[in-house]
Order: sequence, then C-alpha cells, then structure tokens
Amino acid sequence: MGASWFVRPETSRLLLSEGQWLLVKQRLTAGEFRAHMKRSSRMGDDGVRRLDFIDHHLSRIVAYLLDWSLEANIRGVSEQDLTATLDGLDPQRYVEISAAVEAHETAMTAAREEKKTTTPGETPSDPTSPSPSAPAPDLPSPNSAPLTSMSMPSLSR
Amino acid sequence: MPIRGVVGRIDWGYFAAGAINGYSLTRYADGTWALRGTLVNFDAFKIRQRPLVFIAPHKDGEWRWPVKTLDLSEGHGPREVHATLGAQLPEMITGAR
Repeated sequence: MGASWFVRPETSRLLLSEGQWLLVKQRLTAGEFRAHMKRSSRMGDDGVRRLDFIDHHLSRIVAYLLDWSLEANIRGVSEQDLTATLDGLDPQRYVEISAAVEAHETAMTAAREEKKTTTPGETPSDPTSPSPSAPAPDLPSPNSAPLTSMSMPSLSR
Repeated sequence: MPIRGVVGRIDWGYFAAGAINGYSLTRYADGTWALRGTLVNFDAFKIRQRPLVFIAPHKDGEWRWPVKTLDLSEGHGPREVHATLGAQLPEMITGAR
C-alpha cells in the first residue's frame, strides 16, 4: 500500500546562516496549494490568470512557514501579519529565507517523485488509457509547448 | 472544582481543527481531565484526525492536553463538545524570545 493521499501535519527545520532556523510544513495540502496559487497570481484584462513571480516567492514562504528563531513571533499569526513581518526583513535575509523554502519545496517534490516507484510484482497501469465508457482524452500534439515551469504563469480561470 | 476559560482550541499538529468558546476542565484523581465546551467552528476533516491536542492560551503561552476521546454532538453550527484529556503536556511559552 502506498503513502497516504492526505497530508499529515509534519514539519521540517531548515537551517539558515548565523545559527538561525525556520520551521516549515513538509508538504502543503490541496487547499493550501490553491490559496498559494491564488495569492501568487493576477487576473489579466484578457481574463487569463497569470503567475506573478515576485508575489510567488512571498506566497510560498507564507504557505510553508510555521515558526522561526528570529526575534519576531510568527507562531499562529494571520497570513496578513506574517506578510507584514516578512516585509520588515532585511532584503538579503528575505532572499535567504526564500531560497531555503524553495530548496525545501524542491527537495520534498523530488522525494515524492522518487517514492512513486512501482511495487515489485505489480504492473503499472497506463495513466493515459481511457476507461471503457470514457471518451479518449485530448492529448497534446507533439508540436504543443512542453509543460515546464514556464507554463505556470498562465493559469486558466 | 473545574477550571473555566473562554478561548480554547483543538489542534491536529500545526493545523487548527476546532475553535472553542467557553469551556470547563475537571481533573480526575487518575490525572486525566474532562473537557466540556462549545465548539464554535471546526474543520470537519481535521477534527476527525488523531492525535489532537486541546490548547488553552494564556498571556505568556499555552496550556496543552492530549485529547483521548472526543464527542461531537450532532447538528449544524456551534455545538457542545465533550472530551477526555490525558495528563497535561509541557506548557508552551510564547510570550518572549
């Protein structure tokens, strides 16, 4: 049996320079990820939602950060209060925190991908196989743009 | 004699699972506690997970107890909650860094 499809409230401690640390969520729930994407994006005049990379970095910290060793208390504070506290940081320290949270997210994603190995003896089902009653999905053509992180700025409404 | 308080909450890990407004805590001889209160808001998924912790904030931090059993009465909106709590956990001090 694989890992739970639900996120348990597990944490990681990330070390910063000068002996400081961050306490972060190991994973975001679907609801937290959705809120993170909403905070990170703007609706354009053309009705297309686009990711704002500057807001995205701040939003990712807000999504993951639970506590830290710095002098300002952030445990249990609202999203708005946490944002205000982060805005008060020295810019270079802010970049250090942002990089630490981004590296944590990347590492957790990589760890989950690694766990998605097939159990010995099992044959993986073809994820693109349609069910007998379902119509064939519209698959992207070979000429379609690849789905990379650069495609993230454009989110449909 | 019960301890009475106004604001309390039930957490599942770092998640807030429920908010309590008005509670009483009664200590039994074996070190366990009975919690009665009004659950004014809760997350239907998180309140059913384990382990849960009952938290009574105070000006310098939080008193905390592990929830052993939790009985949510039926219905919609604010409701009475009855819980049995284990021995008190170490106090969390948050007032000063």
